[in-house]
Amino acid sequence: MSKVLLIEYDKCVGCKNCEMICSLVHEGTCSSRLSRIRVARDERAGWNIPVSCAMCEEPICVAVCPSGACGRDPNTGIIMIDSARCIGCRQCVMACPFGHANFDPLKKTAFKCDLCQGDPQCAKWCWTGAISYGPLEEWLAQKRQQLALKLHP
Amino acid sequence: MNRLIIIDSNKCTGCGLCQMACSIHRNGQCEASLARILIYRDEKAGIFIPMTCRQCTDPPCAAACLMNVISKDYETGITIRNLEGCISCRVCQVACPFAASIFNYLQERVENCDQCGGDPQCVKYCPYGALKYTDLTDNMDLVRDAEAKRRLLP
Amino acid sequence: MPKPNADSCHDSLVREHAIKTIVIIGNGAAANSAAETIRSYDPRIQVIMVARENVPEFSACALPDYLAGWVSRSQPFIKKPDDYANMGIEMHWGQSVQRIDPHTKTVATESETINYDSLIIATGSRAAVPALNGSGLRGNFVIKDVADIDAIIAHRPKHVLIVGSGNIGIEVAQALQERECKVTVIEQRERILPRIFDGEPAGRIAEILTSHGISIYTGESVVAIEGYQRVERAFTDKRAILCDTVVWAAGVRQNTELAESAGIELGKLGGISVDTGMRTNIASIFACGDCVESHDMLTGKATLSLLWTTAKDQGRIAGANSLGCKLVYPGALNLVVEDIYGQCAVSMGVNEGGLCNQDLEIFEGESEKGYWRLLVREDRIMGFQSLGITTGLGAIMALMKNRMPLRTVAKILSDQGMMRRADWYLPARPFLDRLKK
Ligand SMILES: Cc1cc2nc3c(=O)[nH]c(=O)nc-3n(C[C@H](O)[C@H](O)[C@H](O)COP(=O)(O)OP(=O)(O)OC[C@H]3O[C@@H](n4cnc5c(N)ncnc54)[C@H](O)[C@@H]3O)c2cc1C
Repeated sequence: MSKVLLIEYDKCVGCKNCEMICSLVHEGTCSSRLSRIRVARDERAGWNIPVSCAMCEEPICVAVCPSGACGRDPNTGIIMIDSARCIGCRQCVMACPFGHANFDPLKKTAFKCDLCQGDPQCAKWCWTGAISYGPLEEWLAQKRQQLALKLHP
Repeated sequence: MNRLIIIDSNKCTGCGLCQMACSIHRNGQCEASLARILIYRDEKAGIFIPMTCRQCTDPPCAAACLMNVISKDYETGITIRNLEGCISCRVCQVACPFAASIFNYLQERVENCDQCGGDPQCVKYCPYGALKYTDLTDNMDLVRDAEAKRRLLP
Repeated sequence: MPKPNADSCHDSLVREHAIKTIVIIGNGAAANSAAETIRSYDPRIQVIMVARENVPEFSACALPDYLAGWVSRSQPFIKKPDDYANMGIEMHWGQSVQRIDPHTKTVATESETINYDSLIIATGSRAAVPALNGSGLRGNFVIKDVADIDAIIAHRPKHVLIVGSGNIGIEVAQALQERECKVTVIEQRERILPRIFDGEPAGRIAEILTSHGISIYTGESVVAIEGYQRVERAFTDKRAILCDTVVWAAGVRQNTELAESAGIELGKLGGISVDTGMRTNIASIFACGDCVESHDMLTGKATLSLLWTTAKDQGRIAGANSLGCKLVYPGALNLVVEDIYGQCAVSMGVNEGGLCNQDLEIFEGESEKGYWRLLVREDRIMGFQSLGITTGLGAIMALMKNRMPLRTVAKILSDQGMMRRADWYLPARPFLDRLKK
């Protein structure tokens, strides 16, 4: 998989637009708790951090799934949870080091980011530019360039 | 809101008080093997991991049960057993990934944690805070905040 | 027990609205699981079950316990007669379906014709009794329902010959031994429990059984049974055995005649052929349970699983898909737990025979508690057998289900932080540590 979801914390204003669009496209309703991406925020300290799936190369959520519901899609390379096979044991939720995998309070099964099958809506609807979707290499090159400009204005 | 026994094994010292509390509360006698919570111990490495029923939504123990006596209480989210129908064939023990189906040799039945009807004794008696009884979604928010703070550190 | 609102299928928009009546043939594990699933998804759909027998659902797995006298006669029954009506299921008792007509979408019993929108065939299996000299005499029994057990008890058996040493044969042998019978088991293959265990564990199990007084002859087959009006002795190809009772536990036959006559395709192994959604080759007809030929979760090969858990699982998929859902059956994963005189014998996944011994790595071990054996192929666990061990097995089963490469498992177990996250791996450690080379 070449493209990744890139998140720049310093651009996030905590509007939670991403949470709304995510839950809307996946669950048909706007609700933070049903969103794949979540924004952790502390207003007093003044930080907003969108947390989404890192699409680890060796995902711990897959390793701890005892039912085989959580796995990498062989075609797209995206790590997905098959809700029909999910037994709702919450192991992936508790194992994810980023607090990303999530649990649906109504269906009582786990869910996680599926990158909207290659067209992530959160990136599309993020108006601050905090979330973008593209090849990691390009993004790194850009960052290096920015740093260089800072050092030699 | 469904509450869950959430385990932080980093805090567990393996004292076994949770097991004693469980066993005495449910069976009237103190015996670790009768407790519905068990502790995986690796004394050499100093690792102690409490394990108990995860209250799965679609539990593998119920799917495997040869007598169909295991079901879900959708109000509380707890996996319940109609123990009268149990023939203790032990298939649920093998089907549970979490070693949470416990064979009670006093009654010759296989049991699982039922959160003591909303007041789990193991959590009450855990001296180190390794066991918590909270809502998972709330707990997730805490985990995410902790991760966010970690990322913010220079 | 299906969960409510578990998947998109519960969204009524996804389902087909043309489906109003679902007919289920059978009243076994598969049929009831399908009916319960349909009910949990939709309370309004008309569900009609047609069954040959007049008794509510029972678990055949408890029949040996009833035969032994460990449980009461009512224990095997897991439903009460009025449970069906309470669930809103129309139960047609005591009727056997004679014909399925896929063109008019009807099924016909002796006395009535019923229309369906979706049909689920869960006709199960029956015990196989070969047509031998004397296999019709009084004193020949099979074990399939509660009445069979009643008949055996009423027959007052003293010397029993059990033909076949599958899980049913072994359970029944112990049960009749408990009734103070002299029990002999005849197995055609070279060892007992041939479909379930490999040579070493099967040998150990046979040792325990013989030490308790059960005679076991392997590599022999019964050729004739003799007696005046009732069974008096049996002949194998090697010896004559005095007995007053013969119990046939030599495999089962799929009840597929009904499906076959409706033009439904059968598989190579003799079961009804289904796709991964439990659909037969004819539209709107589904099949599940003992009567179908499904695929093995680990090898992907066609298999006749013939287990209670498999029947329930397949029933759930057939039930949901008969409503128009698109659930996929992940395949059958065998799990057999036997109590051998207080020792727990467990087999999961496939055994050596099922894997045809191809590129197989075998790890064996023995602890003070018991013996275990792990079959590995392509870095993945394919089978596990144990005797006397009860801890850590669930984790092995789960590792088999999620098909984790053992390389990854070893990596996780060698890192403290990762290990705490994957804490359920730990009880299986005694088996996995042996794999390190
Ligand atoms: C003694 C014994 C012990 C067992 N122990 C175990 C065990 O320990 N573990 C395990 O996993 N499995 C065990 N099994 C296997 C398990 O019981 C079966 O796999 C399971 O019952 C299969 O369920 P089923 O619904 O597919 O079929 P069945 O239970 O065979 O049900 C078939 C149903 O279809 C009906 N039917 C058939 N034809 C018609 C028709 N034409 N019209 C109307 N109705 C019809 C029958 O009346 C019956 O109700 C055991 C089986 C036996 C017999």
